[in-house]
Amino acid sequence: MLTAIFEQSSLFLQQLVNGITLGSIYALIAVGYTMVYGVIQLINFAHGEIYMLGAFLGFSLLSGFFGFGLPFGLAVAVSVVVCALAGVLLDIVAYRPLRRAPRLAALITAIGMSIFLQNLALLIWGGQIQSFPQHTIPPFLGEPALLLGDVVVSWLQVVILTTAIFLMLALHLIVHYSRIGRAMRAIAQDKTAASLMGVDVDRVVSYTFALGSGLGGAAGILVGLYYNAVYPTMGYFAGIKAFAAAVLGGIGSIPGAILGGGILGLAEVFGGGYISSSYSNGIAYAVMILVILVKPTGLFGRQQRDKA
Amino acid sequence: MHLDDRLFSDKKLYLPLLAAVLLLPWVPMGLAGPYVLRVATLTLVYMVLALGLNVVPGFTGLLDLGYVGFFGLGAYTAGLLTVHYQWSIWLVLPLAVMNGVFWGVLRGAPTLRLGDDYFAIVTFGFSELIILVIRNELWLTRGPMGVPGIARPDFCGAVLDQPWQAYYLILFFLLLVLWVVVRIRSSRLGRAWFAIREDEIAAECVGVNVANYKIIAFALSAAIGALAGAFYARWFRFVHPDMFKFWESILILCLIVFGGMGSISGALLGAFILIPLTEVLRIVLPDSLSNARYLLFGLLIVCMMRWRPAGLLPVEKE
Amino acid sequence: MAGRKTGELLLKAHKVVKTFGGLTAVKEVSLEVRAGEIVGLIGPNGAGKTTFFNCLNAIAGPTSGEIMFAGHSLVSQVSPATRLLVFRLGALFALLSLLWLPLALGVVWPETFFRLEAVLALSGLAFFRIYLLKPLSHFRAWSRLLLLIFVLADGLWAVVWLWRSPDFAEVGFFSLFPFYPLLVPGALLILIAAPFFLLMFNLPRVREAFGQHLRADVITALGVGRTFQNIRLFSSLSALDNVKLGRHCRTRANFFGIVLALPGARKEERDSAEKAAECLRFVGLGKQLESRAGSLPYGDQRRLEIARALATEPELLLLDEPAAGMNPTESAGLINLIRRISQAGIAVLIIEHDMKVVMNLADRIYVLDHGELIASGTPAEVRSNPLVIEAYLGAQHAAAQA
Repeated sequence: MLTAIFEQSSLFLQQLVNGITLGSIYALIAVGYTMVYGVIQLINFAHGEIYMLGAFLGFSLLSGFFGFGLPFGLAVAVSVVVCALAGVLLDIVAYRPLRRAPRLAALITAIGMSIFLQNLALLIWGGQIQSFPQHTIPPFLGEPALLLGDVVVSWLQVVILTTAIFLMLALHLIVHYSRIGRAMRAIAQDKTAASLMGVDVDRVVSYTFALGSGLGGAAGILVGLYYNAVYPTMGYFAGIKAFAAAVLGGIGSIPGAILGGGILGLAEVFGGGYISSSYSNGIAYAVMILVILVKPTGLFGRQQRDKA
Repeated sequence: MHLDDRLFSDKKLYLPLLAAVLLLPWVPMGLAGPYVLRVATLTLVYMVLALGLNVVPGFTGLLDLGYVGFFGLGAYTAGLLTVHYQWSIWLVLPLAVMNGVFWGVLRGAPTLRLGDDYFAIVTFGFSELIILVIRNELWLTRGPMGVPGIARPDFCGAVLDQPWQAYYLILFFLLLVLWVVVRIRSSRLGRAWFAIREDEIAAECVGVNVANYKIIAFALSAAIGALAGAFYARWFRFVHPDMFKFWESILILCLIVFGGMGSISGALLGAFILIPLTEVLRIVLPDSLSNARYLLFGLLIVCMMRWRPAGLLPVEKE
Repeated sequence: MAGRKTGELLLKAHKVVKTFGGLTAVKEVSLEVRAGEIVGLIGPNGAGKTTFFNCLNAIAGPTSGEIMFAGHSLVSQVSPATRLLVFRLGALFALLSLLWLPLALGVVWPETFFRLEAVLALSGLAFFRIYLLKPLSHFRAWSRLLLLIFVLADGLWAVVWLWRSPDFAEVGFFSLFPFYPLLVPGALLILIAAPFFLLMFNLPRVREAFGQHLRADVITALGVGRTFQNIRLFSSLSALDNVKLGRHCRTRANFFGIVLALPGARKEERDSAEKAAECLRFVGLGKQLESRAGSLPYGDQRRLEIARALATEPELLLLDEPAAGMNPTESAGLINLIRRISQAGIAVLIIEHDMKVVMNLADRIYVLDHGELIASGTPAEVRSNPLVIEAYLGAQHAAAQA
C-alpha cells in the first residue's frame, strides 16, 4: 500500500517537473501573442510559425544545413536575433498596411501569413521530422542534474527553466523600466493619445514584434532540443496551446500569459498522463473555448471598455 | 443591379452558364474526360461549401475558422449511417443536415456575445475538437482507419454509379443552395444579417433580434456544410479524419476571400478558379511537396487583403 | 399608430439611475413625455443625456428606476443581483444537464465517456463553480461557506483524480458512487427538462417576471424609435435598404416563406419597399433611394437615420442631437421635418445642443447637469432659470446676471 502510494507520488512529481518545463515554454510563446494583442489588438496567428522558424534555424545552424556550422551558444543567439527580425519584417510586410483596415482583414492576413510561412518551411526543409545531430549539442544537457528517488530533472530542463525565467525577468524590466516599454504600455492604453503625445507607434509596434518573436524563437530552439524533433507543423499545435495559455491568463496581460502557460503545461502533462494521451491537444482547445465563453478577460485581463 | 441579384432573373446571364455546366459531361475530351469530370464535381462540392461558409463571415461578418468541422460532421454522419444501415442518400442526407444544424446551433448559442476575433478562435477550437473526437472514438468512427466502402448515391432505387450522374446530383444540390442564398440575400432575413455585419447596436435599435438572426445564420451555414459533406462521403466512398484538417477551412475561406466576402457570385468564381488550380498543382508538384500548394493560398489571402480586400466580384456598388 | 389622444401619458421615467462602476452617470432622473408633444432634453457636455437615452431603449439599461412606455414596463422590478443569480443558476443547471449525459453514458460505455467526463470535469467544473456561485457571496455568510466548500471539493476531486484515476479505470468509478443506477434515468430527465428550462428564459413574460431587461429590439417593436449622436447607418447598404431594415420589426416573413417565395412573403417585400420609399420621400431623400448610405452627404445621412427610425412606425421618437454639424439652412429644414413628424402624431424626445433648434421646437424642456435634473418647464421658463444659466456658463456669469 505504502509503496504503491510512493510510486504514484514519484510519478506525480516527475509529471510535475515535466509539466513545469513545458509550461515555461508555452509561457515564452504566449508572451508573444499577448504583447502583440496588447499593442495592436491583433491575434498574430503567424506567431507559432516564428517559433517553428526558431527551431529550424537552431537546427540548421548547428547541423550545417546552410553549409556551415556554428558553436552552440552562437547558433542560439543568431537564431533568436533572426527570429526577432523576422517578426518585425512580418509586421512591416503584412500587418502595417492594414492598420486602418477592418480587424477582420488583419486577422485573415495573419492566418494567410501563418500558412505561407509554414509551407515555406516545408519547401525549404522538407516535411519529415528532423533531429539535432548528437555531436552538436553540449553533452551535459542530457545528463540528470538532480535525482530525487525516481524523479529525474535533466540539465536540459534546468536550462529551459532558467532561460525562461531569465528572459521573463528581462522582459519585465524592459516593459516596466525602459522608454520603449513605457511607450508600449501607453499604446496599449490608448493608441491615439499615445501618438498625439509624440510616441512613434510604428516603431514601438516593431519593437513589440521583435521582443515577442525573439522569445518565440528561443522557445522554438528549446523545444527542438527538449523533444529533439523539428518539423514544419510544430508551430501549429504549439501556437494554439500558447494562444490558449494567453487567453487563459487574460490576453494582453504578460503575467497572465506566464501563469496561463504554466497551468496549460501542467494540464497537458497531467491530462496526457492520467486521462488520455490522445486528447492532450483537446485539453488546450477545451480550456481555450471555456475561458472565452465564460470569462473572456481571463485570469488577469483588463475589463473591456464599453463602446456603446 | 448587382450580379448576385441577376443570378436567377437575368436570362442572358444564367442560360449560357446553365447550358455550359449541363453539357460539360458530354463534351468529348478523350482520355482526360473522366478526370475533368472528377475535378468538375469536386469544384461543385467546393462551390456549395463556399456558399455555405459565405453566410457567416460574408453576411453576418463573423469570421468562421472551423467550417471544415461541419463538412466532416456531415460526411461522417452520412458515411456511418450508410455503412451501418445501407440507407438511401435521400434519407441519410436530411439526417446529416439535421446533425449539422444541431451542432451549428449548439456551437453558436454561447458565442452570441463574442467579438470577432474571439468568435474566430471558438469556431476554430470547436472544429478541431470535432475532428479530435472523430479521430479518437474508434468504436464510433474507426478513428484513423477511416470509413471505407460507403455506398454510392442512389435515386429511386437505382444506384448512380456513372460519374456524370454524381455530377448532376451535386449540380442539383448546388442550384438548390444557390436558390436559397440568393432568395435570402435580398429578403428581410438577409438585410438583418447585413445590418448585424455593419453595426450590431444599430441593428438592435431598428428592431432586429440579433441573437435569433445570428443563430439562423449559423444553422444555415452548418446545414450547407453538412450537405456538402454528406454528398462528398457518398461520392468519394471513403472518409478519413485527415480529409478534414484545418487547411480545408482555410482553403474554403480563401475561396470566398478571393471572390469577395459576402458576394455569392464571388464565392462561385473563387471555387471555379482555385479548385481546378489546386488539382492541377497536385499533379504538377512532386508528391513530397504537394502540400506546399497551400503556400500559394496563404500568399493569395495576404495579397488579396492588401490590395483588393473586397475580392474579385465585390458586393458593394462603386 | 395607435391613435392616442394628444396629452395622454406615453413615456414616464421615474428616478432612473445609471452607474458605471463607481461613477453615477444618471442620478434619479424623472421625466414624462405625452402623446403629440415635442420634449427637449438639454445640458452641457457629459451631462448624461445620451446615457439616459441608452437607458430608455435598453442599449445599456438603467441600474435602478422605473420606465413605463404606453403601459409596458421597460425595466425589471428585480434587482440586478437577483437577476444575475437566477441567470447563473439557470446556466449551472444547463451545464449540469450537459455533464450528466457523458456521466450516464459512461455507465454504458465506460471506456469512451468516462474519459470525456474527466476532461470536462477537470477543465471546466471547478472554474464554472467559482464563476457561477460568485454572486451568491453578495447575499449571506452561509452562501460564502457553501462556495468555499464547493471550491475545496472541486480541488480535492481534481487531486484524487490525478492521483488515483488509473485505479478508477479498472475498478470502475461508479462503484464508488452509490446512486449510479439512477444516473441514466436522471440524465434522461434532465436532458428532457433542460431545453424547456432554457426556453422558459426566452418567454417574454417569464423574462419580465425574472426581471430580465427587455431587449432593444423589443422596445423598438413596442414603438420607440431612435437615432444616434454619431450617425450609425449601415453604411455599405443602399439608402433604401437602410430604411427597409426599419420595416424589419413590422414584417413577419420567415425563412421558409422567403426561400419558397410564398405569395405572402413577396407581397410583404413589395409593401416594405413601398413604405420605405415613402419614408425616404417624407424626409426629402426621394431621389437617393439607391445611393450607398455611407457616401451620402452628412446632412442627408442624418435625415436617412430619421427615415429609418420612422419606418419602424414609432409612437415616440428619440432624436440624439439631430442638428449636430448642420449649417443654418439645413437645421431650418430639420426643424421643419421634426414639426411634420410631430404633426403625424409621433411624440418626439430630442437631445440638442443647438439652442435655436430646441427653443424653437420644444413644448417643454428638461435640463440635465452632471447626471441630475436641474430644471424643467417651457422654453421661456428654462431660459430664465438661474440654475440653467449657471450650468451652461458657470456660477460667475449667473451671479453677474442676477
